[in-house]
Amino acid sequence: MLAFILRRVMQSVVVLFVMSLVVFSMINLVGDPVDMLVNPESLPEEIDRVRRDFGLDQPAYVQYWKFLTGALAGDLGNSFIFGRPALALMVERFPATLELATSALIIAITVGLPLGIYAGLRPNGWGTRIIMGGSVLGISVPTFWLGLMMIIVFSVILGWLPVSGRGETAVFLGIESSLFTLDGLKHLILPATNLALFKIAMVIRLTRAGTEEVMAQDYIKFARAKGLSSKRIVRAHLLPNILIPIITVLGIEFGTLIAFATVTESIFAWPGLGKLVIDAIVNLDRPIVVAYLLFVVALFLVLNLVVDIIYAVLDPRVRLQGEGG
Amino acid sequence: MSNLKAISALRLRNEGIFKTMQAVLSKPTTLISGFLLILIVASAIFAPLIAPTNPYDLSTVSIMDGRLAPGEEMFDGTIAWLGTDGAGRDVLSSILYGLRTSLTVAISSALIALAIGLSVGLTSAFYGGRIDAFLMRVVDIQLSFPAILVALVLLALLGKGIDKVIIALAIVQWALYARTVRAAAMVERRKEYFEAATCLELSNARIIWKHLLPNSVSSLIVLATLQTAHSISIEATLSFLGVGVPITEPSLGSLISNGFDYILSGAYWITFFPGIMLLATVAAINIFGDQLRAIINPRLSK
Amino acid sequence: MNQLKLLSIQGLRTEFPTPDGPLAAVNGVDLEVTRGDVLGIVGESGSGKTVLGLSIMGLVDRPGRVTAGRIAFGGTEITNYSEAQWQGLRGNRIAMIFQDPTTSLNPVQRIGVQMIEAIQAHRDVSTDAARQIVREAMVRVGINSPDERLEAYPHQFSGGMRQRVVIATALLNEPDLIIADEPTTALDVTVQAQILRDMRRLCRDTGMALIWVSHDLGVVAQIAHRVAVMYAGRIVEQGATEVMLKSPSHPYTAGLMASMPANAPRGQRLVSIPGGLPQLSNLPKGCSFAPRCAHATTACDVLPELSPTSPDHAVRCVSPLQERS
Repeated sequence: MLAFILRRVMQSVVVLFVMSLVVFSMINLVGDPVDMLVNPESLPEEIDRVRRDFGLDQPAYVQYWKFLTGALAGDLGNSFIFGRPALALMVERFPATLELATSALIIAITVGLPLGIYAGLRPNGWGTRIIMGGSVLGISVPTFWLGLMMIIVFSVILGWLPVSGRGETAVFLGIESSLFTLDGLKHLILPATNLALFKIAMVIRLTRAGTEEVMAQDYIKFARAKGLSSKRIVRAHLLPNILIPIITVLGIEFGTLIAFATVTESIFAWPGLGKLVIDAIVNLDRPIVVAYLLFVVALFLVLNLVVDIIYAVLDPRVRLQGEGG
Repeated sequence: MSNLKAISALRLRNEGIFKTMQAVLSKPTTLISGFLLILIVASAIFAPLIAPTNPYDLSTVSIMDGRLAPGEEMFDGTIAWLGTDGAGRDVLSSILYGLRTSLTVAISSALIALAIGLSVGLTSAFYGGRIDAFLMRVVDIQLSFPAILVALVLLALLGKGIDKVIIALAIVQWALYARTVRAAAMVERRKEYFEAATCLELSNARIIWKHLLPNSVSSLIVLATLQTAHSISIEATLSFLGVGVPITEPSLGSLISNGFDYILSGAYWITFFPGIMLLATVAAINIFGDQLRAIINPRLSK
Repeated sequence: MNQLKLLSIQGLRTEFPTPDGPLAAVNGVDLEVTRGDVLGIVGESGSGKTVLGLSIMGLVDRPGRVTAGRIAFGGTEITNYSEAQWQGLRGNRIAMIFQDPTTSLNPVQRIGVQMIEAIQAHRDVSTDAARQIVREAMVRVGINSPDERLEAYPHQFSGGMRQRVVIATALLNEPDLIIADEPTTALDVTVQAQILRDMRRLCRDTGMALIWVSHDLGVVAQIAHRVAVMYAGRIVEQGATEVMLKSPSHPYTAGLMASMPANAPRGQRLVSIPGGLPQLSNLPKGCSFAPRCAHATTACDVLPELSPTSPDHAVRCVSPLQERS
């Protein structure tokens, strides 16, 4: 078991290293960041000075070595735009994104799970057709456009909810979050719902498939033969069996939520990681882009690793297979 | 013997295509979504002929017509059925031209991705062993990252432009095609006649072309359909974020993005109607693709 | 009027819609079970015996449903019961045991939970009181140290032990009738014999009635007082076990007996009935068994009634076999 975990960790480290190399070399192939650091009318000497100051005059492999050693020490370079350490900026912005993604996940589960169970229990009902039709639509509608429509309806026409920003935050148990103030919650509702919409269809489909599978099992038939009510069967026999796979998949999908938050954050001007990186891409703020990429790669590797380990713990067959290959 | 089997397999396949056509025509959902799809593609192709104005022709676009509401009359007497945008361009015309750009990007990227995916998938299935393991590992790693993220990163590196978006989308999608082709080809590879074919020392190219490829065609058609919808969506998202297609040659996404600035002032139509078009296109393709999958492979339809 | 008549079924028909028209899995079945009776129902898989059991429980899965006939239980007609009424009956007055004990229990719930819920679904008792009832039931079916077993999960039990748990669960509310659908098929022979012995003892001790569904005439002969043989959704022969086994009147019953290893003369090949079950959606016009029957004549083109040959014996055949000398 330990060997399995160690090998998976090693694999992840290798992937991370390769990714850093790929990202760094690609980013060096395009665009000259010096152009944006200096005033277009600057003198050549001044451009050279900036180039030297940022270490951009040195060969690529030297730059990469410096970058790698720096990265290992927690230094991912300074943002060209903000003139501050990229890592510090990311750490500053991350809680807002985490808050958004977590709220979205919770919304997706609370809405998607009951709908999916309903659809799974009544495969031929009218309600099911509406739910499944809606979920096809949900997959088809680009989330960013839906976000705009939400702004039009709830902010412009109805005037119920604010359009942008994170609102007031408060500190509770050492965590600063919009969840703890009314104003913050108001600001959170639209972006979190928007981000959740993207996952609700998935939760519905997963839950429905799981429900149909479990309801066909003999132990459900036996539970019905015991005279249990439908409510009891769903709560005691269906839910425990479908929740495990659903939570697992959502765990892996949490990474995609963070990635998709870039879009939502841009629409609602949510001051998180996503907005930071989109601005950085538009402004060619190289260190931020690199830092974000490495961060996301690391996040995905960790999520995948955790899920793999959980599976290995639960299922001895996976563990044995892992040791064979 | 092997030849006989191959021939009968081929005949079965042809009958399969015929059956598929029959099934497509007999189901209303399939028929309607298919019809809508043809309508959308046709209006994209013939946009210059059917659009009331040419939004790229600066001589006919007048700032005086800016932000007309749907149904109002423009300066030259044309009625702007869906309103005009801030620069006075007719929204309906922009949508038709934008649809063109969106479809061009999605379809060309799908074709490139298909070509790469086919080569990688067939190579993987044909050679097996270490080559297969390596290629599939790369596919796995790529697929573990969300498409939008990979595309975003690539565009951050490549810069703006239609060609760049096409390249980025092709890179995003190839892995999925590769995996699908490989899976289908592997099934064929395990069959008896494949061994017979290798024993007969047919050329590798011939084995791949005649035996491994045809089996994956049906799943590729379905995948390509659904992926086209997906890449239209991604392209729109990228353009909306300002890293995709430039506003000088707008896609549906850039049109929506363009209208974003006017939302708060109440000119909803500039962003609303391109969005509806985007939605209709993606939904039509998705529904059609789903139906196609149900027909071709009933087991996977759920 | 007759207090001993516990279950009475008349003209029961259970259909499943198919693209080729409705398919009658149970096609006009009449049955009677008295208190303390053990009725064996024998037939090949697909003969409709399982669907018959499910129909009595109101557990036929949609889109299948009972389309004709009446089921009366304890003098009350239950055919048109609502789901809530069925729930009050199931596991309470009528219990059912299924074929495969490995799948009848929910893998993620403790045994104790799964048994206690069966009591609390019907009786308003505390969990402690329910636990006491569970302990007694476990001891009755020969499970030692019930307290430890209550906390265990199904996968920690052997197949025989699991089936005992299932049987104990069925006994919890002291039902008047247990329907056992091939409950020993998945078990090995020694365990099977034990369970048969236990069930027989339980019926004698408690006076409850038992319907034992099986494809194995040998097993049924060991436990049942009366036997009904089903073929293609209809009962083709029924009667007291000794009478029927001594002189089967229907060629199908005779064929079933001849194909039992115990009845074959030493050194000779086992006899098997030629052909297979007819398609239920496309039954022959007259006797469904005629196409496979060695004695078939043109008279078999008309469906014969189930008619008595002696007070305790009835057969559905135009030319029943004579008593073997």
